[in-house]
Amino acid sequence: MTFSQSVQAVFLIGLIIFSERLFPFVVFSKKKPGRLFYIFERYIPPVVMLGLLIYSIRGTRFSSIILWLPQIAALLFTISTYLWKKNSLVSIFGGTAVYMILLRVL
Amino acid sequence: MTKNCFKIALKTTIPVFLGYISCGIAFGLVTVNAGYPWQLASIMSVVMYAGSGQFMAIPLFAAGTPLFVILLTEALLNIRHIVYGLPLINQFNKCKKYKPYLIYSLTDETFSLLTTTTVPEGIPLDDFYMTVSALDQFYWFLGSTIGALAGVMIPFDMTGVDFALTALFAVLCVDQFKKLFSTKLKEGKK
Repeated sequence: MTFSQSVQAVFLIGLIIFSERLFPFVVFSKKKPGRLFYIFERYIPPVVMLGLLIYSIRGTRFSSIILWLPQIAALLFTISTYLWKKNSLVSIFGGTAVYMILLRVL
Repeated sequence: MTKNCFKIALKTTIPVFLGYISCGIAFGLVTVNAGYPWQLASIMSVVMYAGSGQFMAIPLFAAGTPLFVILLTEALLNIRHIVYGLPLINQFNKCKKYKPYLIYSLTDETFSLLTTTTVPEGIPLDDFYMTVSALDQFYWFLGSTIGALAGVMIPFDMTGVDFALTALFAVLCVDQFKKLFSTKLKEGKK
């Protein structure tokens, strides 16, 4: 595709993505929330968060140590320090540092 | 908007900053390497603003894939967005003037921050939501534009910085499950 064709396609895709993001607001804004709504409200964030976490480590393979140790060690570091100290920035920076260092030394 | 609100929003979005700048730069490079002018990367980060969707689109454009196939692929890839608004309907209704922008800019990462972060006391919810959402998009736009314009000139090796997003999801996961196990389901009113 040429540049201008691509830009046209981008606008159509943008419209699709915006419609998807808008969907629940159009469908649920008028109705009074029922039990199903509270179930969604309660379970969607944790389920999505777990899904995103799993998706972001999908590249992990166990055939060679360099393919799994950096991810797993950095993730364990992040989660354990967060449970222990409850400081999200320290855990995120620390975990990222562990990951970047292990990637380079292994 | 108060100074305090901006400061707290800045601090809240630091992990997204790391992830979006580094992934954005990678996206800009992919766009230019596929033979497109740098503007395409910037336009996509404004019009689409969906990371995985943008990465997916470039090879499809470059291969000259039929338009309806591209649109169908993107619709399916981004289908998860149709549930993101659900837990945020009540909060977004309190943000009248910002609501359209908040809906348009609801990415994986912004959704994660907005649903998990407690709005600090004394700060209006609408200002906080708007600042977090706008900062996130600014990082993404900045990253993809830098990557497309000057990605090849970046002197240091950033490999692995994007782990910040994985770590962010891990931390927010801990928060979400703690909250889930410590609260009960609200009853729906008839």
